[in-house]
Amino acid sequence: MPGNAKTPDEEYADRRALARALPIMGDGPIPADKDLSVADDRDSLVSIIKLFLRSWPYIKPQFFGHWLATDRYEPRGQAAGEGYSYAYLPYLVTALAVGGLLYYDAFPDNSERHILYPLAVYGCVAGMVAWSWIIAFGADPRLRVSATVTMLLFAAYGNVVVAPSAMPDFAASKWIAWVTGACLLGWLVQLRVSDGRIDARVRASTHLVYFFFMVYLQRLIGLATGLVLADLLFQSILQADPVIPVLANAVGQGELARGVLERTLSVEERSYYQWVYVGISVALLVGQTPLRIMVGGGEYAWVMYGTGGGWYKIWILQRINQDLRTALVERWHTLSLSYHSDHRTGDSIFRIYQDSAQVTAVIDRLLGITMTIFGYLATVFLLSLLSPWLGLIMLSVVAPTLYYAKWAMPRMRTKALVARAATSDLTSRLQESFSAIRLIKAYGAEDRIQRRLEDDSVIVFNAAYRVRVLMALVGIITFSIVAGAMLLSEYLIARWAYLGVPTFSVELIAFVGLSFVIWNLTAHQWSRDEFQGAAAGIRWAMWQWLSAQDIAMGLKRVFDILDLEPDVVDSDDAAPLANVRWEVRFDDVSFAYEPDRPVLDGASFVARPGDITAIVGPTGSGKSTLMGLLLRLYDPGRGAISIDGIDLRGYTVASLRANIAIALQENVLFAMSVRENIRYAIPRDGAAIPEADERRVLDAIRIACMEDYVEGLPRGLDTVLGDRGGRISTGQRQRLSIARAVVRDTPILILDEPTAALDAATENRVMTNLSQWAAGQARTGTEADKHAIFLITHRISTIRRADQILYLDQGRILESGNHGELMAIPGGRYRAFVEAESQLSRASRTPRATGASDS
Amino acid sequence: MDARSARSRLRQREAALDERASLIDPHTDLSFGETLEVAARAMFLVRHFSARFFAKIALMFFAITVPVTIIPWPTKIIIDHVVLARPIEEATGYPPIWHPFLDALAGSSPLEVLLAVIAVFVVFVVVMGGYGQGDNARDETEGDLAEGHDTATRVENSLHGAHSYLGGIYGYIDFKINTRLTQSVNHYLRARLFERIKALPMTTLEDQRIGDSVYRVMYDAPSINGGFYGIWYGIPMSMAVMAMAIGTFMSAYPNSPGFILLTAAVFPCIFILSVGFARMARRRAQASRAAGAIATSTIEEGMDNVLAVQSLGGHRHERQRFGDDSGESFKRFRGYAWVGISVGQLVEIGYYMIVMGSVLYASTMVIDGELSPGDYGALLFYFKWIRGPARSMGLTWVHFQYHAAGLRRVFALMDMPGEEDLGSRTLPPIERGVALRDVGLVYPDGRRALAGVNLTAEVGQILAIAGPTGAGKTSLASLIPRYRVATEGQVLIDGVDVTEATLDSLRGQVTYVFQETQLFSDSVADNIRFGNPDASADEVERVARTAGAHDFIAALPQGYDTKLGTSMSKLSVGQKQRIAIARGLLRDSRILILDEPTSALDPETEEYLVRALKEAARERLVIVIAHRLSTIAGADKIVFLEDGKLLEEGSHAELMALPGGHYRRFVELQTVAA
Repeated sequence: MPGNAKTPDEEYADRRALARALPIMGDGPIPADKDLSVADDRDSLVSIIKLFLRSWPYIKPQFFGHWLATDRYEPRGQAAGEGYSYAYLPYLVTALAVGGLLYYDAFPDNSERHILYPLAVYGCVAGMVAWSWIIAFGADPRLRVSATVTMLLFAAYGNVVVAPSAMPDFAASKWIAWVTGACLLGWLVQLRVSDGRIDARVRASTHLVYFFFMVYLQRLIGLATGLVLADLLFQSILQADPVIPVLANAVGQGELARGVLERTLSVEERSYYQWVYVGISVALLVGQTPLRIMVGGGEYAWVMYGTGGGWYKIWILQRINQDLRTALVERWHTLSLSYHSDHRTGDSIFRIYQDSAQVTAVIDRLLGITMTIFGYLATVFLLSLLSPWLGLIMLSVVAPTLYYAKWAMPRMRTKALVARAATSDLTSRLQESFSAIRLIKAYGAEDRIQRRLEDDSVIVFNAAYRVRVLMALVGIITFSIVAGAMLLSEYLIARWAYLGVPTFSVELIAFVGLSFVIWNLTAHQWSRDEFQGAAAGIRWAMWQWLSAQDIAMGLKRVFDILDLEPDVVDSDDAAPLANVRWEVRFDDVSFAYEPDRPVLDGASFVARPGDITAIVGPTGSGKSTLMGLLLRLYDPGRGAISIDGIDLRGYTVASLRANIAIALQENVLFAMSVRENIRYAIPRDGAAIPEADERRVLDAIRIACMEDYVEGLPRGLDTVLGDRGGRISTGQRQRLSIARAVVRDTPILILDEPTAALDAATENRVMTNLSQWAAGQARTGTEADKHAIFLITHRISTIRRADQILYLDQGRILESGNHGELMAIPGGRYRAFVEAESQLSRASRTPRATGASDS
Repeated sequence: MDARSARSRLRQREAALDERASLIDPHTDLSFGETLEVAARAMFLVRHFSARFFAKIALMFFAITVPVTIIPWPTKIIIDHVVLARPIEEATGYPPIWHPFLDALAGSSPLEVLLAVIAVFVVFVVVMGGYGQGDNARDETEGDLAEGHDTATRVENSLHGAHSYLGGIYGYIDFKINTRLTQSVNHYLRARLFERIKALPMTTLEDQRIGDSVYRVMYDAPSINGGFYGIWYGIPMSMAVMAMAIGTFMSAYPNSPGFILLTAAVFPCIFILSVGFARMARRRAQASRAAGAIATSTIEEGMDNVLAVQSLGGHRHERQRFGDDSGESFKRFRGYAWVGISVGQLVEIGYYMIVMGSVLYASTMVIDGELSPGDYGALLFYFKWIRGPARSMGLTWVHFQYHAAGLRRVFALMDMPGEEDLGSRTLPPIERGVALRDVGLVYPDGRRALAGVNLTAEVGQILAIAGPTGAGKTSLASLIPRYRVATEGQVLIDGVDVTEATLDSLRGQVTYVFQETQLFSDSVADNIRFGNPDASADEVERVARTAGAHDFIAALPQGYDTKLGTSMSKLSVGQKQRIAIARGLLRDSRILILDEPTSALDPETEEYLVRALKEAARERLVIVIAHRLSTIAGADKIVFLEDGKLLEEGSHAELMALPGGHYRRFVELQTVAA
């Protein structure tokens, strides 16, 4: 389509139009075939949680780590050694619990603490003791897991709430610390008794546990020092109150401690404590730097894009993602070819690259939502102490929110799925456009391809826009719902404070450490902040759960790949194939991709090592499929293929393919060096290239007649080929892929149209080399060195050299035998085929040439 | 090891990554000036959006000022005049905007005041999504989703991200406009970049890995938003907010200029501490992108060639290959994160020193009795208010580096010389044919492909190019549609040098059918229609018949409407080849070049095709590159190439008549074998 180059004005108009391709603020259209409606949603709360839990196998290694045995003969890893157990644990924990209770006298009778304190602490310890017995002797693994999860949840909550409040009771804290430590020991160390000697193994690399421990430590330090420092600043420095005792003692001025000092602080003392305050603050900040580097935190943790959670967190999550990605790639490559023929490359890239990254958000979401719910319940409890009405209002907010969530979540899921599919499509479009760029240029299709890409891109943005707007809308509406409750409480609290109404549970409030007896300004401020905090919790949980829908849809697209069973799998009693000793046999083999379109129909033949079998027939007669069956890219529908009398299904797929080398019709090269391309199919153990290997590579190059070509390369064998081996002519590619197949030195070699792009002279040399190689003459000539070669070809010159020719048409083997035998069949198909080919040549042959070449 | 050599080793590894990622863009380091240039270009690029940007800034400015100037006051009314029950008439210190409201409430009881304020709150919640001072009493609107942990998996939010400082109806509208603006800019750059990459010459594209191009369009282009917003929009906003905060502070505490100075020190302090890391951040960010591009290329290559991987038993190898590259990309992202975290920690400590200074300053004033303990809180409130924008301004430059690295990768390809028209002549409809005069071709790497080729071919002819593998046949043919430009001599079409003709008019009349067949994931009919999208179904069927493809297409489950996969399809190579030939025939151009069209065809199909070509050659020039004698022999003219030189030229009979001729030997080898 000859068109004129655009003038600058036209170009400017084009750019402006491009800038306005999306609406200013409204929705944009999404084609119906790419869209989903809520009715298409098949998921539910349960299925989403299940999707989340399915990522556990990839998170697990970071949680459980591996065992290091003290016995140095034991292997490393999850299965290091046998007979280890933590059966010692319950005895140890129980002993410490009972012993500590007697020894520390944690709550002396004269304690002024509220009765609930000892109860909470006893409860904590009793829980740990119970857990230790379950974990050591519980028969049902599910019981053990759920006990551990319960224990962890309560420990996390108990430790955050109970332990810091119990801090002043050092005896109680020590007691809890000992018992907790013993429990941790059970996690870290296992013992076994063998030959009268005790071996231990230690758990290492449990990164997630280390990580959360660091986070906890950071919080604990922050909580403990934060209270003390705030008290110092606001009470002592600003208001001249005596100093909190812990601190006064620490700086050696016990006489200034609160309760000791009778007067207020002097100006000099206050100035001194200003510097104490600054000194402690700076020391804490600098001292905690390593912790902040690892787990984040601090105001500047988010400073650079994507570094929020700290280095350690990034590292752990990347490991999880890496495990999932590589598992996906390997799985993807073992999927059947019928899967691949229906899927676009860009789509798979997107799933493995982008969708799988959502696995890194799973932990955050699960923990985030759990913690939010705990925090919410705690606040509701505290508010109820002041006024059950407040608690009730806070609780009742959940009902409309849940109802609204029920409306929003399916919409989020379908919209997120559409958005992910649209981005997938765009990736595919790009990948396909770039790989077909020559064709696009040659056919002047640039404008059309550009339009298609822009259309796809607009769909991506429209789909993503709907997702984002839904998120914003859910946020706004959830806030409005909770704001309703907040305003109601605002009214009630202000009213009570104005009227001076007594609060609900004076007794219990004292337990929490608040001294609100009647509603006053402080109670008003405090309860309002708490209420708002809980309301924000609901909004936050809603946001998390909403984005969890998107994460789940990403994971769903990932697990779609993992869920596909490869069509061809090893049977249970499959044995490895070591070598092909006497024959490859096809017995009445039939196969169809689709039931009513048979590709092969009753094919039978035998091929032996040392033989060259040529498979001949019109395009689309099933030649490549025949070889695909031998490789077990598919399994035959009827009949059987056997090697040395054993059905192919009796061999493992990996060992079967390890014994077959193939040079494909489409000569695929990779962006690696020539040597690496040739070695592509050699199984490798490590990075080192054995010397023997190098000789094999050179041998293969000789057989494929590539010496000249390789010598002419700027860096010889180390020359790196471009993308898809660009810049190499087809003939050279073809020889490279022959070399790649030959170098594997397998008993069976398949060449699919190996020489189509070679000139006659080169072909002749390659074929001569190959037939010598097949007969094992290149080396010793023993049986073991013989190879069975299958050739798929149209070239008569190649076919004539074969020991056996199979003539295939419409999936049937019509004739078989050597060239002479088949030519002798009057009216034979093969003969007709050869004559057709010769006629084409003869038609234009000169009289002189005829005499020389008549066969 | 000393630090210097460790650093240079790191740079070497990064350089190696750059080279693996893209051969055409291996030099990735930006100087300070070039980084500024990138920022300026980002600005220039989005000039089409200037009106919307100003609208967005206005919306955002309002959203930032409302929470501090309007929202806090009703809460004060509740505390003072309800909880503390002060008479409403005594209300003082409210900004003018609240005076009418307070006047209207004069004489009401505290509980009536409470109800009135609650009513105002309801309006606030609906309109602006916030009613009080605390963070939890105010809503902000955003729609960010979870992201991964390397550069490529962290683009979704820069593509579609938006934020409003308010909720409610205002926030909803603000958010929607923001989202669409962000998206429009991204759409614009993606489309432009794709357009430019497509226009690169074939010789350049052959060296460019597909995965790298995909990476640039998908994951580098979104840097435009971060790059643009941070500098051209973050700085003015920060300055406006700071000016507002300082103004309010000065009017409230005119006697504490030292405190303002201290607060103002946040910006230079953070800037000085962070700016030295800019180059480091830029380089690590670039390396992270290069490593990601390599991983993308690896996975793309493996997947596009799944048949080869499966038949060669390469799935473990692919896992290893991708695992290594993906691991590297994660590692390089950590390298970048490490810089980010270091800057963060350094800035945290520097900033904390200023916080401590302000605490000392304010608390000293309290101790000296110049301020009340309550004022201390107010002072710190202003400090917090000012430090936010001061901090983001101080960090702008370091922040920008991450996006600069991405934008550099975008601009690098956009700046490459495209396959521009070398001349401006519109090639008229071709009537005569092609002539080559002393044509030579030397590849950029110095290898010679062709030397002194002279050749003419006319419309109405079939020209066959024969010769051994690697003789330069494809190179010769690719000169005609100017996929390559001859380094010596002239290629003339109807007497016009192809370098003088516009590309559109040239390629519109030359159709090239490539050796490797490429199908699109469209229907069979659309694949055939690729060069001529307006062709009718009848025409499609006609060319399919000519190419011998109709029978097997008709046997497909949905016939011509069957969708084809790309990487792997159920069609055999021969069938794909016939679809490619049909595609070439349908384009109906004056020159048709077929590169090894018959290599995978059986003799019957081939014979059929050769007849079709003869038919086609009546009104066209057909150029065929082939090895198969049966294809060559029917040509009107045969040229025999070897080692880039044209050795013989003539019809089959003429060439066979040359005793000891190269062509004759070439033919005899084939026929003897047959």
